[in-house]
Amino acid sequence: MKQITLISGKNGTGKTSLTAAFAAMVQNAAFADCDVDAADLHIIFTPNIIEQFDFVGNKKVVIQQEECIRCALCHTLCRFSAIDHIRNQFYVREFSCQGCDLCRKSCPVGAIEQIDRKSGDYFISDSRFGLIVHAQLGVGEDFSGKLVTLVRENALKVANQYNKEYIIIDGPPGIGNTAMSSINGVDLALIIAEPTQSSLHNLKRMFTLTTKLAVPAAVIINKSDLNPEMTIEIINYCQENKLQLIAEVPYDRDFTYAMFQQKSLTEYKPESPTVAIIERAWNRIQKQLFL
Amino acid sequence: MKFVIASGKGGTGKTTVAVNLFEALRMEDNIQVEIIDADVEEPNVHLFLAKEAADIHWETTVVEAKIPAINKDNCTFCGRCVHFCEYDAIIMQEENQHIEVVEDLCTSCGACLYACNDGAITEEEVCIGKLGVYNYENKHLLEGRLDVGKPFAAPIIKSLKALKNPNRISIIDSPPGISRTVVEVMYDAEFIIVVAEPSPFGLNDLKLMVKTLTNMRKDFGVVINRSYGEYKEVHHFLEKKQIPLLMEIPFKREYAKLNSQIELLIHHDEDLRLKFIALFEEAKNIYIQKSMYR
Repeated sequence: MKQITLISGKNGTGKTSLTAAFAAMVQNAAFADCDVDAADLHIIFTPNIIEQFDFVGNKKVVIQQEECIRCALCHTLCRFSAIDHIRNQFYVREFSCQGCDLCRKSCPVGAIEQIDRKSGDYFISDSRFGLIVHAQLGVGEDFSGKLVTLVRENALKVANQYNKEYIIIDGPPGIGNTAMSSINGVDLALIIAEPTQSSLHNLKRMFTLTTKLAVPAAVIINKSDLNPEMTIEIINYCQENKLQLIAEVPYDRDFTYAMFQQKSLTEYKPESPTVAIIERAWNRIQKQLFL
Repeated sequence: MKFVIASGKGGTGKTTVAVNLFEALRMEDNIQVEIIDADVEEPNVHLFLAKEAADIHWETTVVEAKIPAINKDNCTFCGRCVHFCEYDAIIMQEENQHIEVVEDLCTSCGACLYACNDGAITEEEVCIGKLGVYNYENKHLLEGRLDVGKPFAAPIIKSLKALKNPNRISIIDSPPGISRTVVEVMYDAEFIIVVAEPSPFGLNDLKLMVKTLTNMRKDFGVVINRSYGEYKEVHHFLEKKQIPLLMEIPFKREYAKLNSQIELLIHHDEDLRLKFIALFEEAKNIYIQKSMYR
């Protein structure tokens, strides 16, 4: 089985729209939405949830005021300035807490309690494209890297169970821990770029990351006709670095019109030249995977 | 006064709004303004503003994080540090007398240092990113940049905030999404400008952002970017929730082209510049009015 992650240094390059376009033409695949901060793939997939799970990412700590002896040890030890002190009482500043649990473990009187906190949900669902594992992180939560790993583990589980040939993963933006968790160990990181200076800048950073993690990478330039000169610059960059260019997809308003109807472009306008380009792209991806 | 430019979804035009708003204000005589690029995973503001070679010589401060170093001669392989570490960043095999720190998982919380009773753990500083003050227009551009492959951005954002000039209006370009890094950026800001795209994806992400900001009790308003005028759900949502619509930027191929060439829109469209100034005035007024009732 092969795993492919669509990823981009910058968001809004069209990862989700392309994932959906692929979804409608690829048989025998399972899907994972790893953009857990802003999960959108479900809008097009309109999945039926089969199983729902709580995600407990971070443990919350609470100081029991009646037991606290005001020694301030937790305040001194906390590296994240997450223990505030107001009128001789100590409080946890939740948004700053990184969940290291040092305050609780070090408290001499055991006045700090740990509470499991639900930080999001993840789902295994069925859809017209096949099985999809997706998630939603709670507001202001972190440890999204952990959630991404959970989503991928479950996608792998269902893909194995139902003998799927591919897992197609819609990745998060950026190069931080969620991005790393979504491309670690995949067979292909498909970087979606657009012809802008900022996207080229981010493509370079993303390529550094895939190289560091030893993940094979290839590039699709989306909205390529918006700035042909920039497109050429990106193509040159790919050639210099032996990055395979899979396709140049033109700017197409139909992606948005398809989205209005909660459809992929492939379903919305099967005869569209853009769909033909995406089909050819998929053939190239397959070649790349089975080299 | 700090204005954070945020969005639930990336690629909606946060950076476009941030740089154009900054430049529009900078061209006014009576406003002191600076721009802070807090999108530390993918900092892009400098591409738009610091294009001349002379601007790009930036003073950098390396942001360092403390990573434990384990001295095996003192280590008794008791496993206390492993037990204290909530991030599984210390791997120990007692039978092989092996212990190592996985740097990329470490958050520098210092728990292992506290846990060790044998004096086997010391800390060393490693670089996780940079802070930059560009020479652009008299040092009005600050940037934080996370090194590739380093997972934790919070220390960079904290050090970046310490650099800001309190006498200036700050325009802060936030990372996308609603993660804790974003909350850390917005925490002490006076007003949040949310950039949304008029599409089903855009609406979904806007709702998440509104929920976050309501929880945080922040004053905010919305800018709709790349508006074609055919998808009205975002407008309906704003009306229903009584959220101020601060500005609407129409989709124009000309804008997309200017953006891709890292040109500022307001240098080519004076009307748009005036709209950005009006946006700033409105945001300021909303903040002042609301703070009178607090």
